[in-house]
Amino acid sequence: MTNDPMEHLTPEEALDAFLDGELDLAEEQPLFDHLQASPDLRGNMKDALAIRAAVHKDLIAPPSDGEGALLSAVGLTTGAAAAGSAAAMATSAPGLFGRLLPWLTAGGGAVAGFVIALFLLDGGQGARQDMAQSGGSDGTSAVAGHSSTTPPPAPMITSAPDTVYAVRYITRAVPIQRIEEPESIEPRVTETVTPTETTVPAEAPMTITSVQSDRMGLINASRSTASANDVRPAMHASPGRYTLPVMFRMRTLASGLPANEATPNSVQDAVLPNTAFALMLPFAEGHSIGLEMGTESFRQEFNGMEGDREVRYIQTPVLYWIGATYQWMPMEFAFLPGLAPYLDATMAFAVEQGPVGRGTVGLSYRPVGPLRFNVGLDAAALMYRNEGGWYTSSKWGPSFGLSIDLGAIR
Amino acid sequence: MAATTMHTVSQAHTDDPTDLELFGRLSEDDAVAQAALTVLYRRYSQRIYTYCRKIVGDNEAAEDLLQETFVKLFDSGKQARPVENFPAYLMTIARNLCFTHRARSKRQFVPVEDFHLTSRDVPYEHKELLQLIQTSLELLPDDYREAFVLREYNGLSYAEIAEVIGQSVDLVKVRIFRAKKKLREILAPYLDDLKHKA
Repeated sequence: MTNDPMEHLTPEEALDAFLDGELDLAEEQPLFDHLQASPDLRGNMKDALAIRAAVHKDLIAPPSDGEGALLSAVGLTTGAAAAGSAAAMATSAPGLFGRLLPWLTAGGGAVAGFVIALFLLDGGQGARQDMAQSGGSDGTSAVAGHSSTTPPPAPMITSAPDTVYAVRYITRAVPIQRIEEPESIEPRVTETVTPTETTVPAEAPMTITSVQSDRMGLINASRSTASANDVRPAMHASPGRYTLPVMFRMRTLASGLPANEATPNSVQDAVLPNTAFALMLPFAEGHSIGLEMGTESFRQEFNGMEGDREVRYIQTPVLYWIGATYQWMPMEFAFLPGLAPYLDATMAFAVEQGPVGRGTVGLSYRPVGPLRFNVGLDAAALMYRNEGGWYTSSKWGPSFGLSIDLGAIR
Repeated sequence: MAATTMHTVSQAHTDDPTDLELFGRLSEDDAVAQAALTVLYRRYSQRIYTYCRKIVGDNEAAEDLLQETFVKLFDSGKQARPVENFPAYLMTIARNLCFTHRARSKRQFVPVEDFHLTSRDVPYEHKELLQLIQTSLELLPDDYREAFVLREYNGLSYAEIAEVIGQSVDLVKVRIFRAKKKLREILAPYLDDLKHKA
C-alpha cells in the first residue's frame, strides 16, 4: 500500500483525474485499457468533455467598471487604469493648465458673473442718471418709451419726498389708461395706472410719473400726489425706480451616475461637479435668455475587443461647457403666489468634447425678496468625439437651483 | 502529475512580472501599487468573479465580493504579508468573503436574471447546456459545488484547492469526483440527446 492518493481509483475516478491532469503516469495505461474495453467509460469521457467544453465557455466577465471602482475603493486614482484601457480622455488637459482648469472654470465663472452683474448694474445706474438728467432738464418722464411734451421747469423740492415705490411681479398685462390731465396740475403728468396687483395705498388718485414695464410684467412705478410742487428732479429719485432685470442663477445638474456605483475619481476631484451658473436677462413676459456655464460628468462607454474577448470601457469625464440658455415661465399658480412652472432649454459646447443640449422642467418659487428657489427634472445629452467617431451620452435626474434677482436687491 | 494551475496560466508571458512580484509592489508608493493592483485585477478578476458568482448565485453580490476581495488583497499587500501561493491566497480571500456573505444572507431563490449567461456569442446548444449546468450546480451540495467550480472554472489543481479550502487532497479529489458524477447523472438525458443529434 502506498501513499499515492490515486491508488485504488475506479475507472471513472481515474478518468476524471486524467482529464484534470491529476492522474499519475503509472495509472494512465490501465485507464486506456479500460477505455478500449468499455463503451460506457468512453461515453462517460465524451460527457465529461462536453461538460468541460461548455463550462470553459461560461466565463463570466466581471463588471467593466470594476477596475475603476476598485482603485477608488482603495484610495488610488484611476489614471493608470485609464491609460491601459480606454482611449485617453479628451478632457485631460496637459500640465499646469490641466490642473488649474477646474479652478479656473469655477472661479472664472463666479468672477465673470459678478463682474457682469456689476457692470450691468452700474450701466443701469448710468442710464438712470442720464434719464434723470434728461428728466431734470425738461421735467418729463419717459412713459412706455415715449416722452411727453415739454412742461415748464419744475421747482426745487423743499420737503421730504412723498414717494412710494411699488415693485412686484405680475403675470398679466397691466391696463394702462390715459386720462384727461387736470389743467391745474403741472407738470403734465402722463399716465394713470390701475394695476390691480401692484401695491397702491388707497389715497388720492394716483398719477404715475414713471412707469417701466420689464420682464414678467415687472412694474416699477413711482407715484406722486399729483402736485406740481412735488415733482422733483429724477436725479434724486430712489434707485429702486429703475430696476435691472438681471437674474443670477445657479443650479445642480443631473449627475447620471448610477446610485449603486462608486463615484468616479474624476467626479470626486472636480470642483463643483454637476453645477451651472447663469446670468439671465428677460426679453418678454415670462421669457428669459442668458449665458450659462457649468461643469458636469457624462458617462461614456466604448465597446471593443481585447484579444478574442469582448470588452466594454467606461469613463466618466467631467466636462466644462458654456452656452446659451432660455427659460420660459408661463404663469404663476393662483393657489400660491410666487409659485410658477418653468421650462429651461440650454445649448452649449463642452470644451474638447462636443455639443451639449439639455432641458429642464420644474417648479420655481419666489416667496419674498430677490431669491427664487427652483426644483426640476433635468435631462441632458452630449455628443462627443473619440478616435475619429462621434458618440452620444445622455442622462437625467433631479436639479435644484437658486436664483437671485439682482435688480430687486438694488 | 501535470496540474494546470491559475499560476502558470496567468503568466504565459515570461516578461510579465510574477504574481508575487506584483503583490510585493502593493506596499510601495501609490503609483507603483496602483499599476500592480491593476495588473493583478486584470489577471484574476474574471476567475474570482466567476467563483463568487457560482458560490453566492447573485450577480450583484458577486460584484461586491469581487471588489472586496481585491481590497483585502491590497490591504494585505500594503502590510507586506508573506504569501507563498498567490492564487491560492487570493482564492482563499474570495472564499472566506463568499462564505461570510452566504452565512449573512441565506438565499432562498436565485433571480431569473442571474441565470443569464455571458453576452458572448455562444452556440445555442452550448447556451442550453450551460443553463443546464448552472441549474445542476445549484442542486449540488455546497462542498461539491465549490470543489467543482475551483477545479473547472478556476483551474486550480487538487493541491491548490486543498490549500484554499483547508482540507486534504484526498477529500478534494472525492468531492470533485462526486460532483462530476452527479452532474453527469443530472445531465445524462440531455447529453444522450446531444449525442444522438450528433
